[in-house]
Amino acid sequence: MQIGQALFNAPDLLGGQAARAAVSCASCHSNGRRNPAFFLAGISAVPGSADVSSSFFSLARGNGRFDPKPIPDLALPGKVSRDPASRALEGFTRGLIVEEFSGREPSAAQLADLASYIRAIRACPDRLTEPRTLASDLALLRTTIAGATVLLERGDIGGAQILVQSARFRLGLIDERLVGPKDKRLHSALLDASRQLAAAPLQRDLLASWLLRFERTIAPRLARSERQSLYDPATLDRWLAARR
Amino acid sequence: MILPMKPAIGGIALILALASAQPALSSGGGGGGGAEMPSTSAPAYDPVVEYRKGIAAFEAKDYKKAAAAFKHVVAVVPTHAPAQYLLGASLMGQGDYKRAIKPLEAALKADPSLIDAQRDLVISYAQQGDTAKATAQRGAMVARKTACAAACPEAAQIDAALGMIDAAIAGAKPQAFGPSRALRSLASIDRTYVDAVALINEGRYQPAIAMLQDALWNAGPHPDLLTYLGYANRKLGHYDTAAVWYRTALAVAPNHRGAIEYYGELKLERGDRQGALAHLARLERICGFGCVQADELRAQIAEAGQSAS
Repeated sequence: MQIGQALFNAPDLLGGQAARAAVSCASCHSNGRRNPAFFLAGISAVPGSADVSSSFFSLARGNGRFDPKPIPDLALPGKVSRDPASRALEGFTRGLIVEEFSGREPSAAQLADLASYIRAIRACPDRLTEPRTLASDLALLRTTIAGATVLLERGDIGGAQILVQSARFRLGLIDERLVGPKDKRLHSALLDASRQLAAAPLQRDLLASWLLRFERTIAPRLARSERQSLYDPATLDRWLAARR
Repeated sequence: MILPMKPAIGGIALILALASAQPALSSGGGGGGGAEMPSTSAPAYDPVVEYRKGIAAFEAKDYKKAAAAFKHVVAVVPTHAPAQYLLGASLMGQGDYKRAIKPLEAALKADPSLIDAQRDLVISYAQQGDTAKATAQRGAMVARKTACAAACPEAAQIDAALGMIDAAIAGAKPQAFGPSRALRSLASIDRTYVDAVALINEGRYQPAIAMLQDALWNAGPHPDLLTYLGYANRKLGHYDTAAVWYRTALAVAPNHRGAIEYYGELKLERGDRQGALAHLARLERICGFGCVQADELRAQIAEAGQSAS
């Protein structure tokens, strides 16, 4: 299921315009639910909607009409059966990746991983929203690297590449939230970590040692900077107010 | 048939709110963001912002302010015909026909189809007493009318322009100037971007070019529009024109990922592998956290290398 979650958050799983805009499944389905803030003029009618049958994303599903639909909450029962026996969810997900968003053909194992994750999505009984925190981004980074390692074990080099790229993207998301005046060296450290991921050959032991090094040298420094970063709600409010 | 979704640019202003909270789930997640606004890397003046200021001032008939803003635009993008034309029109609005001539000539050079620029250039020549040039340009307008044969969509505009030209040559004070088209400042190009990309993905390059060129009037020299003009022209085999658009995009936004990638692809298509590699190196320098533009260009260079070997 963790590999499914990692792929769900990987922009390179999709292709074309989606990948170029760094859009992943999670961009519309935050935490697998729905992103009420998603808006792109020409694709969305109102925030939280999208016309996925626009030629903008893919000619295969382009219907020549502007017909955005509300982005569905994947925690709720949808039109596609979640029954693992039917494998309908796997087929539907493949259609989304390849036909709707011009992605490369996913392997059967990748589709199974994605379907497992989607089937596991549930609403939290005690809260409506989940704060976005450094911890949640770091957890996803670890899941992504772990997923890449498993995919390498399976011999799925293409899938591992998607996840390594996604890990670099995650580092970028963390980096852009560091707005403290003393974060210059931390920015450099994150950038170095990203370049090391790009430069290293795709091998399980190298990924493991990269993560270990990250945990020892960068993660603690990130934790110390969190209060002055955009992960901190008060800092985020001040930062946004200064730009209005 | 599934067409590969090649034409894309990283500068899309996709609104994925930098939210501090998202729908709750027992496991983490989220995503989005990471898109860099190209104009953040612009020179001292952001030509897109200056263009919008210029339009607002021009519409308010504050021609001095408009001219100052359009000057900032053409200093970065001298080939942007709308900005050159509107600079000339702003100077005419101040009664400065002498200084209006140069930007009007530049506008006409960048886009010879601009009837308004040709009309105002003749008027400015006439106001300066340069009868020879005024008459020559009038002749060009008459030739345009002949070619149109009253059947083209611009027939009425040409007739109106000739009327104003003849009045100006006869010594009348110009009664009106400025664009025949309505101007409206675009705060966002997202809609145009989406529609143009959809046309390009459908292989309808000429309508896409027309849409993008039209958008240049309202949005100014936005690097996404300029890059797509390069892309659509490249797909039509107009390599030199495409290169000009890519270079213009990079003049506005030197780190525009899409422009760097596509210009690199153009160089590769023309056999300039070293040039393409230089573009890839530039992308790898810019994309510290990875980007699909570098991945795509790298793959194309590798593919071209395999085909050649």
